[in-house]
Amino acid sequence: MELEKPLVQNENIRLEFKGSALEYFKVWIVNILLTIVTIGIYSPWAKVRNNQYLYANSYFGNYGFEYTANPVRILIGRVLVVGMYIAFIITGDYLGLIEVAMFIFFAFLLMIPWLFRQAIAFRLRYTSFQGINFKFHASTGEFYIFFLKHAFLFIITIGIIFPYTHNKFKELVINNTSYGETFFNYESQTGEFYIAYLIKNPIVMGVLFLIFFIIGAVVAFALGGADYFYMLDDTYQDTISEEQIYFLLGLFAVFVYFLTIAGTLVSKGLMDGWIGNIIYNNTNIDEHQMENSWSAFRLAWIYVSNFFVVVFTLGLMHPWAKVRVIRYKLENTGFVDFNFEKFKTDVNKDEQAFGEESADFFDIDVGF
Amino acid sequence: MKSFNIYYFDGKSSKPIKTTLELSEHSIYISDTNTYYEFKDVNVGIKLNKTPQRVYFSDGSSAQIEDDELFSLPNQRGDSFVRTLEGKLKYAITAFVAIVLLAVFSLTFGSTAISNALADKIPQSISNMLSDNALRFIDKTYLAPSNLSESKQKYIVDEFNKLVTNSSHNYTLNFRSSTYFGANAFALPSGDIVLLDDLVYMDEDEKLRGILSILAHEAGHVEYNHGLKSIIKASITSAIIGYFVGDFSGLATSFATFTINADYSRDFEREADIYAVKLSKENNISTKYIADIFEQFLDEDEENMSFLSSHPLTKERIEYFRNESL
Repeated sequence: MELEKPLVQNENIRLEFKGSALEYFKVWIVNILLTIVTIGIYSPWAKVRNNQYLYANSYFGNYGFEYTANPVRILIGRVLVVGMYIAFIITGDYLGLIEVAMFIFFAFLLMIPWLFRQAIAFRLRYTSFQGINFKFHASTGEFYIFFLKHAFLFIITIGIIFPYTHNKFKELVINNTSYGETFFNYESQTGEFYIAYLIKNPIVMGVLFLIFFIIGAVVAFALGGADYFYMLDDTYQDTISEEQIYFLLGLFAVFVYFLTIAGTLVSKGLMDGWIGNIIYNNTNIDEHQMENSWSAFRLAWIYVSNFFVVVFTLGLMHPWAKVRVIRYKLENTGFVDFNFEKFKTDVNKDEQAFGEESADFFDIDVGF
Repeated sequence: MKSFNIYYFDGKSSKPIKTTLELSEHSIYISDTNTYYEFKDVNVGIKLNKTPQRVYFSDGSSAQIEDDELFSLPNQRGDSFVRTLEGKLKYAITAFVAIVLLAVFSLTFGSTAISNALADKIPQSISNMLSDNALRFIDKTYLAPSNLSESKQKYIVDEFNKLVTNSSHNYTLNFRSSTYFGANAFALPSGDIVLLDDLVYMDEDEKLRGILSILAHEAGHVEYNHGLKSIIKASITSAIIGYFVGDFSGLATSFATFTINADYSRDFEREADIYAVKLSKENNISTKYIADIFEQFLDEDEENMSFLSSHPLTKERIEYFRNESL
């Protein structure tokens, strides 16, 4: 088998999104309505349909990905988490049983590493491509050791360890992921993470802040300066009422609020771009090197503009925004070369999407 | 017999096989591998608009249907209802309008109706337990013992008991002082009423008839179960908002917090006012005195208006008490 020369061996193969925002909108909005009228019980089915639309239209080569999760399993996970939350609220707030509430809270904290592993494993197990599933091989124990170790390091280094932690987490996830029997391999790049976190991001954000501040000051002076001096003049005291001042203060508060969100999103877009490139340009699967060319500035712009579009359309444009991000990311990700037909999986030791025997039941969206 | 063009994946390798799938009355046949599958070994994937559909088999293999035609097993309706809705823009727009209407309805009439219905179904024992916990918390956090003389306290208790002698509820008056709340009074669903010293000092009538009317007002909140109705409604509302906005932190409003904020709706205040007037009249207490106290609140600085902070139509209410006092 190995001797056969692969038939499909292209150069520079990119991923591609073939869906449309409008088509996704139709799926999305109908499933929201169904979720509402079933008081949330339908939500796992909605999630599966939404995800399947996005996965199935994410193409690599001639085929799309598949999201094959069983909604009932997602429902079990959600019932578990919602149940814990309700128990926490009832015992803590309504019954005044602070000790019980604290117990639930700490039980949840202790579950976090397990939940993370569970979510990642679930997502990979129920993602398939060309009839073969992804798999996750890290044990729950490895996750607990990772979380404990890095929580400890975080405290003693007052957080300076975080870029290292981020990098190590990606390494833990990617190097334990396989497509069929073939593992992904990420060459850890701690130095690059530190450069992104401690040099690139602060510089760009600092410059952006400075530019914004200067523009703001110039505009404020040009527009408001004259008025401000009039206000100081006694004869104009009556022209601005208390209500107007409160209104202006309110307006200013709203402005600062949105500016804070915009700043956070710009920073997140930049980091996603830089970190994404570091990770994927150093990841390969069986000697097929990945190739990523995300522009950090472009991503920052997409995140910020998406946020305002979604907010000002009261959420209606959410599908458009989501498709926009996915399309940009996919179309700038790929492999230098790829052999689509050589991957194998061992059916006997693998539980297929069809199987019900798996103990996995948890799917939350954790960033990985 | 129906035939579909498919790409077949054997589930062991990522190599696609271009072949056909024959769907008959009782089984599925894959030509290339010459295999038959019974329907119980087949799991049909969802069909989403123009997205290619998948069929999964129990041996781990699967097929991607290449024809843009719905694949479904005989006698299986599957997700046809959802699929129909997802297929047309007019349904999407209808869904959007329905969501907006549902949101508006549930935040207004819906939550009121549900909370009113639920509140009366909650057993007295639970309501008492909630109230006791809330009172203990507020006591610990904000309240200090009362500085009123024993005799004055006894006078108020006796007069108040005369007011509520016909009520089916058991009332307990709790005298406290509080630098945090100042002049205030609030009722818990259990029938516990907390009366703060500063409010008592505001009543210039030596028979404290204003205070008695205020206590009757608080008893009105208990009588009509306003406390439970309001907190259930607040919970439902924040759950709904959380649902749409994705932030459930509002749900964690505690019962104690709610009680001290006493954020009753305008209708509830009116209902309690009418009850206060009724009890006052029955006991020959003029509502002139409660109006006098309210007037003092109006005159004070807005920041000190704690008792009336949730009573937006104070002037209207003063007028009501004055008219009824004739």
